[in-house]
Amino acid sequence: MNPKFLELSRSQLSVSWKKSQYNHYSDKRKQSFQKCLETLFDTLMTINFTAPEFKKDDLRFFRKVLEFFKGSLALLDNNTISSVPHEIIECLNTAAKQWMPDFDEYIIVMEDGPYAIKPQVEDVRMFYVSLKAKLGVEFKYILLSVSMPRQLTRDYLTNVCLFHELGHFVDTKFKISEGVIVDVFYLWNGPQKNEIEKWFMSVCPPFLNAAKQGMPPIYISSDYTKFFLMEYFADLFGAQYVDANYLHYLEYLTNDLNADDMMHPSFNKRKAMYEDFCKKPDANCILKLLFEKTLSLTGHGLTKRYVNLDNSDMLGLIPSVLNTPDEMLSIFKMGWDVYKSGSSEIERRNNLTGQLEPDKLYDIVNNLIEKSISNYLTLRDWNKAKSLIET
Amino acid sequence: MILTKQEIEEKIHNGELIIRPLLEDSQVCSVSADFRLGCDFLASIQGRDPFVDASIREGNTGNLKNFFQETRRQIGDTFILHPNQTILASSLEYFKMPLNLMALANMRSSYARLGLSILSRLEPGYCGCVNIELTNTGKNPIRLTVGACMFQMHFLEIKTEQNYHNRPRKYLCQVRPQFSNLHGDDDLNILERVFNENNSFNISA
Repeated sequence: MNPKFLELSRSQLSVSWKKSQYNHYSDKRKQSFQKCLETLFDTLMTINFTAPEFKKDDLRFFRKVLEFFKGSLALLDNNTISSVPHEIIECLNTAAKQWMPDFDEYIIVMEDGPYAIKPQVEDVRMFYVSLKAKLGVEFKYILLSVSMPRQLTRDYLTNVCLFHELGHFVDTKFKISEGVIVDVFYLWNGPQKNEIEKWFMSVCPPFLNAAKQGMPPIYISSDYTKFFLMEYFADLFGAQYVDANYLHYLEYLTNDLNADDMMHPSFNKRKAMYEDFCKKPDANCILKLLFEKTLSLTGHGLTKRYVNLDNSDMLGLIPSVLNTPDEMLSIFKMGWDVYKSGSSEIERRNNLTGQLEPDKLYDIVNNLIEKSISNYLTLRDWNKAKSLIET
Repeated sequence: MILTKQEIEEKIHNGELIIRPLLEDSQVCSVSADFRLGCDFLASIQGRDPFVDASIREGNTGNLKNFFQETRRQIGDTFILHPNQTILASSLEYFKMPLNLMALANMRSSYARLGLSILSRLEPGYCGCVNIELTNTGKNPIRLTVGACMFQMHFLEIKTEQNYHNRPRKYLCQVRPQFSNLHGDDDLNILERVFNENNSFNISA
């Protein structure tokens, strides 16, 4: 690697940093992260990349640091509450903390893009250890990128997909799907071969062509098995909070409900897995494996976590009173139930003249979900602050 | 008849009048209820368009959004209102009015003295947050706290119930300030037709 290109990258960084260095965040953790970036920048400016003592590994490390810095700025810039749906983030925080009590070390930052949740850097903790050891800069917090389509920031109905994405994050952190692959292959080589193959059909083109010619489907590699397991886990994780409602957007996007692709089981397979999940934890062998592995690695089981809320407030066009974090997370399912049932009950209860247009129903349900969550958070914070003052 | 504290409290208690969230019972005063500044704002800005077009001349469907910037604050955070600036805000509280009650909203005296003004009303049956057009008529910028009790509402009982939903409503269940939807007014279409008829060039004549 030519060290001159590291200097080029650092010059690019200087230009970006000049614009961002005076950013101020109301979130103290973001402000702390910004302070660490400032320290890191000052350190980077003292390094002579062309010095003969630096070897290839050192230069690669510097490159990683520079890219980390640029990526951090890109995520933090404009990531203020104006663009970030605070209610969604609080819901993700609440759900994540049920699985990871140390989740406060993650700072959620939003990006425009397809639904996804991922830390800014893979193996971020190891990277931070290297940063501290080699450059003396210690980062306490980790940026967690949550991407969603910008135009859907206030669409709480569709944003239930984020619970599926959170499932991927939990899976990656605890290595749940990875831990099940060997068991899957063990069962495939045993008497449950047919049941396994039901969930893991061959999808790679060369083998698909072979299957079309009458040859039996076979497994490709552990990677494809893992991808399918990851999707099943994420679906089940999401279903805990929002029931089957994460499937609606998926069905909307899918052309062929029976078709697998390289990384995803077919819609129908995923729906069947959800239906088995509703029956019992060992309704099929894959479910049983995922359930047991999740319990052993996280200490928590995959189970229904939503509560059935009374929808009469929403039907009466007022936000629901939510009293607990579980109730807050359950509002999405309730919103979907109201939306799917149509507008006739709302029209009847509120003496509406004429039919409520679909656009209006969509607006009303999303607004009431947002206000219900917002009211819960406001009351929570108000009462907490009051009790601190009174003590 | 203006409702008193006891009457307001009774209506809240029996669910006739919904105010959510009501952070403190003390917000209900002798003849009014205080309510708070919400988290969402539409701040007026100068855009590239030369003027705000409130007409439908030449097929215009409205450029109002070009003159406002959407922004949010967390509760407890602050917001600066500059001299002569108007912002669209909304109340923290969501109201649902009974069919025999209307409400008039204005500034609490503590904030009116700073040069702030609003005038808003809620019709019988209205449901949503209160839309607030907040103007700083003073000479100095004012820093406001989101969630502060800045406004008060007087509730007036009317003799005959009115059905808010007896016609389609433009602003229903709003939880944040909305851009004006004046271009949906039928009157503007009629007026445009009147103007065109009176000013058209009739070749046959």
